[in-house]
Amino acid sequence: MDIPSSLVAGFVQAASLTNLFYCFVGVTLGTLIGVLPGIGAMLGIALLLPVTFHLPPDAAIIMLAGLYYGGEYGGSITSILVNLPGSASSAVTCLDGHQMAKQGRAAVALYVTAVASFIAGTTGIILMTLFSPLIANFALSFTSVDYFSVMLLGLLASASVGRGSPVKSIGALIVGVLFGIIGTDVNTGMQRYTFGYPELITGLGITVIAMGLFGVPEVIAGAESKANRPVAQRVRIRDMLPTRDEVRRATMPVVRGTSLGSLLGALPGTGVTIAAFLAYSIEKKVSHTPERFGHGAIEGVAAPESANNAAAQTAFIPTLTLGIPGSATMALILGALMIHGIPPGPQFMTAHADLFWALVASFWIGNLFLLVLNIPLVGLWVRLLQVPYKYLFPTIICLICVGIYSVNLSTFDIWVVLGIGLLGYSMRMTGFDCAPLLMGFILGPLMEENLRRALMLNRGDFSVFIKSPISLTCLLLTALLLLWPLISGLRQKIRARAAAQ
Amino acid sequence: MRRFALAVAALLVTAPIVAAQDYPAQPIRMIVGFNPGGGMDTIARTVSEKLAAPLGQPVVVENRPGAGGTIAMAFTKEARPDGYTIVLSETSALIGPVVYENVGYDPITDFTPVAQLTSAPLALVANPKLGIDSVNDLIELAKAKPGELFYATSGVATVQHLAGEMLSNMAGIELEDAPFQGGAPSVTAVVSGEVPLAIVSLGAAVQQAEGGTLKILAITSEERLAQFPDLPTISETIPGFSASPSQFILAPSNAPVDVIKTLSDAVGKAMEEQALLDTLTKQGFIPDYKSGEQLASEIPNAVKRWTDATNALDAK
Repeated sequence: MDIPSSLVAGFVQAASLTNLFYCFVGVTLGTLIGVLPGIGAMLGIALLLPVTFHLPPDAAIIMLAGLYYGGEYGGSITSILVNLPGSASSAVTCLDGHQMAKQGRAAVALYVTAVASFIAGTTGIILMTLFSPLIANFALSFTSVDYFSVMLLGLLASASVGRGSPVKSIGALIVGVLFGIIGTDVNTGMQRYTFGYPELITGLGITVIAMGLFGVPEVIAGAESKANRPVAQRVRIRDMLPTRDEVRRATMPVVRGTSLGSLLGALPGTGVTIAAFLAYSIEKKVSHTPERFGHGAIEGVAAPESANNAAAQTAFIPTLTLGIPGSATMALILGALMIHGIPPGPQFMTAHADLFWALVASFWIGNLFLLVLNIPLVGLWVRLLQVPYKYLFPTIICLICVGIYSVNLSTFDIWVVLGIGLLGYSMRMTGFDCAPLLMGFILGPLMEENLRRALMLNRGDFSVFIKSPISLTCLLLTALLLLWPLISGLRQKIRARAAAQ
Repeated sequence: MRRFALAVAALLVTAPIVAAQDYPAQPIRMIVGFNPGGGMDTIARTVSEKLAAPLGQPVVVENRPGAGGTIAMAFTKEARPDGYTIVLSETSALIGPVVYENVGYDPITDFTPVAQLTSAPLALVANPKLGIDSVNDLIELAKAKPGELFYATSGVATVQHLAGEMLSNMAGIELEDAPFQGGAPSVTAVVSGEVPLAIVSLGAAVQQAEGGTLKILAITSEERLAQFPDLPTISETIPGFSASPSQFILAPSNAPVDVIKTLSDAVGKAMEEQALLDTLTKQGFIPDYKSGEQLASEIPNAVKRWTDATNALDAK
């Protein structure tokens, strides 16, 4: 069957009353789970999985998938409102989103998030419809060599994400890498920095780090400020709409963020998070006014949000077309397929074409649901901010503890969150940014793993890094990123001289 | 919400012990050392559902993930040996104490085996471009290129890695392991051709082989499987080769004999249900029930075999 007629058939199947219902349930629950700190889409899917045993396979997968991208969206709501990233990929949204909220513009930030996410999600779905096999092959062509170079680029880009000086950002980045090293070394099985604690054998959890770095310090800082009531925020439709100037400034970031996200999302691994960070730092680089970033720049919300939502859609490509899950969450979705007797694998797209297209169609319907659901909800979310701090902050801490505990049923994790929280607070006080630390934590160990594997498989030959076109491109971009301040400095000097003459 | 229910159930379970003949008089909790949603968790949830009828009490699954399942083992060891706390475990937990330091349990002396549920043979797979079809071809190729052939594994000292090392040793060839983080990345590596060979779970291998993206050379179980009669075993080429991880239920040591018998029989009864067997098969597991007694006689051998393989790694 050709694409248009398959897609129409898919829409017909996805739009059945049952499937519409479960799609709606999925995205709604996903948003809620994303909003709750510590409980990510992964835990949500895991908890809902037994329920889906009794559903027809298409409804089950549609609901679980909805939960996944709904969660991706929900995570940004708390990032903006209370500086609490629901997922690692929305941590970067905290930087400018929360600043906007502090300036009383939370509604605008949420509105832009909803619209940017919808545009990006739709684009990701269109790409998926047209180019799935092509994108899957692109993802397969990535070897350890290319992964290393992409990670290097991501790592360097994230150093520029921070508000503070680059030196401080790199410092935070390195601390993050060190935290990431805790656990069992992939190549040798050696334990590093575990100090005999069995809880540390598999390393620190990413939610633990994200909660600790962003959520806890925000609460401590809030508790010491004198203001007992947050900024009152008006929410009429008019206040939600960005100004014409903001629309203009947000347009290109959405376009760039979407393209980047679509591409990186298809890579197995941490594509979604890297996409968000990279999109943010690109915007900061190309902006004429980079100093506005970190102080409530709309581009700083639009770019990462479109990147992570586009990536959340294309992340399904390797999962569905190759049968290879790119993340633990995707592995759960594959598990759900298997429970229904549908073997995921390279033949899924042809053997179960109807299900594939119904799923693609449901993605778009789900994204529409999210948009329709969340625009009216913006007012409600913002009103949450008017809860006096004395009630809001203990609630947040309580939710963080419950959320973190529920992942592993381990009190050890709660202590780690509090410890990381104190670190985050002291970093905040001394002008260090937490975002590079989080990025170092995620990328550092992956980069190490891929570097060592690349060298091992190629017998220690470093030239492979420039022989692979993908790797070479990334390395050149990395070099450009490093030299950019120099180039732009020179350009300014030349311009100044020209003006003086 | 379910977490809360679990907590309540957990409280109930720690209530005073009752006489063994009344067993079970309260809900039983089944500890799982892995995250919700994964293969082990699915086994636990489907099996526990079917255990409720023969036991007359609900069996509540509790996830205590971390450190390759060893945290759940250490946790269960500390529980009261009254049959109200059991753990769903697998072969990797038997070698845990050798691989990790300070896991705090001995797989033989600290536990009483309840029953084996399933086994999960592994598959030796190759990228089609490597141009080999059998274990014999592989041995020939490896002898021509000693130390140059890499195979992907799910990580250092995982059963996939150990099975590969057993193969190398018994065949007298030199294969180099390339550790990845978990099964999925190792499948990706062999499908993309970055690594020519891999040892992966049979379930994943069959799906990929159907799509023609990789070739299954042989499986690691001692005998061919009824489900896949066309797949040869490694032991057909290398006699005596056997490396099939299995999934089983353990209770803390010193649990009353009749309690273990009740549990073991209940598992046996549940494992006769076609619906359960179907679910397990779909997840890539081979139903392979063994009673507590049978398992008790086999575990020490299994521990020895896998431990020797692990120690051979260290010696390398």
